[in-house]
Amino acid sequence: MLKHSTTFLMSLALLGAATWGATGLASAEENEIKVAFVSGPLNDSFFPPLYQGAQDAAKALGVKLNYIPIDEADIEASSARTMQAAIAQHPDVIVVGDFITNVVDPFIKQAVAAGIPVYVNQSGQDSWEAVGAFGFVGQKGPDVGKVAARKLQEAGSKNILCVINVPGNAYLQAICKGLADEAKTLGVTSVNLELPTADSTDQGKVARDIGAFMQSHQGIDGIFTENAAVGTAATNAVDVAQLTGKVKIGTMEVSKVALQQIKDGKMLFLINEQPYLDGFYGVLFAYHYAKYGLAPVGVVSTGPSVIDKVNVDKISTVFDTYPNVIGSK
Amino acid sequence: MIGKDGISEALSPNMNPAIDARGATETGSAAALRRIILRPEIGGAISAVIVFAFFAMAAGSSGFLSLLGTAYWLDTASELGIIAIPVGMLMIAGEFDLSVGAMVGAASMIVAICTGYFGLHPLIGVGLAFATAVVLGLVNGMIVTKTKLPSFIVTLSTMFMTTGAILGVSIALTGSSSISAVPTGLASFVFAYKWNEFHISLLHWSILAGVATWVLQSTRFGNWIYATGGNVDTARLAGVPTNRVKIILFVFSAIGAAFVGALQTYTFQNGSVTLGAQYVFSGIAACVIGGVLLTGGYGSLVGTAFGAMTYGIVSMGVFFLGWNADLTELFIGGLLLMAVMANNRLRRFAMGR
Repeated sequence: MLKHSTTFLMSLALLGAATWGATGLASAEENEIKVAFVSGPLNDSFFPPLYQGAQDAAKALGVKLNYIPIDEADIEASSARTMQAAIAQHPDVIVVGDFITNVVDPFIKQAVAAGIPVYVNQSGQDSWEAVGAFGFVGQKGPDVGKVAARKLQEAGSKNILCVINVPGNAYLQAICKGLADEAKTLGVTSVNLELPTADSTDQGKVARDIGAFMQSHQGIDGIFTENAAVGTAATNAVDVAQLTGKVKIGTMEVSKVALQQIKDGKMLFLINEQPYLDGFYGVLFAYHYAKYGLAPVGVVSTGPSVIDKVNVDKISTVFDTYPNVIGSK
Repeated sequence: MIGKDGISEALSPNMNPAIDARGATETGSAAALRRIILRPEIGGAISAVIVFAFFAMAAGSSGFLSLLGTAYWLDTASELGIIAIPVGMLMIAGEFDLSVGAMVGAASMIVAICTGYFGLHPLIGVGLAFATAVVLGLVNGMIVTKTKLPSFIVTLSTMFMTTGAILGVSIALTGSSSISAVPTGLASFVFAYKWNEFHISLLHWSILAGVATWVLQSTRFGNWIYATGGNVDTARLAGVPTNRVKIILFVFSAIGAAFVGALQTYTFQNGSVTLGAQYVFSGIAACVIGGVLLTGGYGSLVGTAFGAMTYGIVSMGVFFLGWNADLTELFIGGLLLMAVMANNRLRRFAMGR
């Protein structure tokens, strides 16, 4: 699949901003399939690969894609507004990242009632069937935590710190909950740290927060973080406290620095959530459903997949060759 | 509002009573006490000492007083301080800059795109980030001085525009909003050097605080800043180039933000569009806790430094207590309110009313 998308990736990387205008240019074709894709904003580093995947699929299939980003700073109201906007456009299919199920689910029902099929993407794995969506592609949060707990325990960690970088985010909390449950099963302890809201955009402060937390909670020998920036901050905190090698670190999200840290032995593993697949499959399944009425049955799982010393070289090569497929360069 | 009684007063470096009190020739312990109380930095100094004492007692045993614990709060204070000092000077001149947080993210992304994505020399990345800061500062300053609109609204707009523009540019150029950047050569020393646990930002902050205090207290430009913030019309009549003063200070505050953007990007080897957004609030909080008046014309950079320390101590100390970290904001909010009320009383006392 990566090979197929190479050509448009290259042209996309060059064209850049022009892609925004593509929807307007393509409207001449009457019978082309229109997909409204409601998902996260591009200023959150998780979403550019997802956006890239969606665009690549749209270009390959000749789908008219309208990507509608949710504003994370105002996520509840914005989740509602973006779904309203999507429904109002009467697309052939809506693909939606169902992050705030209480808010989004009624709109999914409304869309389905209005004759617009909905495909749930990335988040919303517990309720998609009940609200009438025709499928789900993504990963289950608790599974991520489970894998993380196992990797850390295997490496010898006995007291794991799970860092939640957005206070009150249910998805991120579910991951740390999954980690805590699995840790208990494995006979090791775990503790959560929710970073203060004001620090979420301050990498320096996050590193010191983690460092100070380790000072006041002696004995932490494993850390799991939920995005690349916090992962880098954790390695920095461990470096400063002169505990490199003694405290094992794993993180969600793949970045160039994190891949290097795996090679250097500063980072134990990365959870590759494969957001590119969320975007690509979201559009692909929407296209198949709209055109032929075909769709995979049930959940299509895109994660968690793990990157560690074993496969880091291959991932690194792809990472450097195809920007925004695995993560930001 | 201060110095409204005359042109000569507007031009005088000692136009406000608190500063006047410092140079007064009164003798005796009562007068000395009064002199100390009337210094604009006293509020900030008191709050820094109180919160330090509190956390030293409550969390000293869990590492707050260790070398590492000290480095944590000093590093936090110094990064905030580099932003707060120019913001404080601008506030003394009577204007706000809400676009500093956005400028941190913009500088971070410019540095990361140039050096991380395109592999250019750090000088080009940092140079371009600083050039962008100069442009943003000029735009802020020109619009505020030409239109006479409140800087609160003008810089609120440019804050959104800066964030939007840099996101658009970085998505167009790289397809991403977060780019890795590893510093090389001189850049890794200037922006990412560590001496034991202490980050080089502490040195930058100390130098900046020293130079800025000297400018404010001992130069003609410093007098102009107080005069502009005290009463802009009187100052202009007296020949102070108030517009130029404001524009220079807007440029200065954007550069401070760009500096911190480059610093954090190179220290953590990651540039991000949203980096530094919180400085809008914490920067102003540090100034106000440190005794800078929101209405301009009054305040000191030593006070601002104490304000930044207070923020650093509280926001790191909470972790050593082992409390829920979200209480940091409760603390800072409470301190801010107390500082505003105390400073207000002090000022009235100082003016003998």
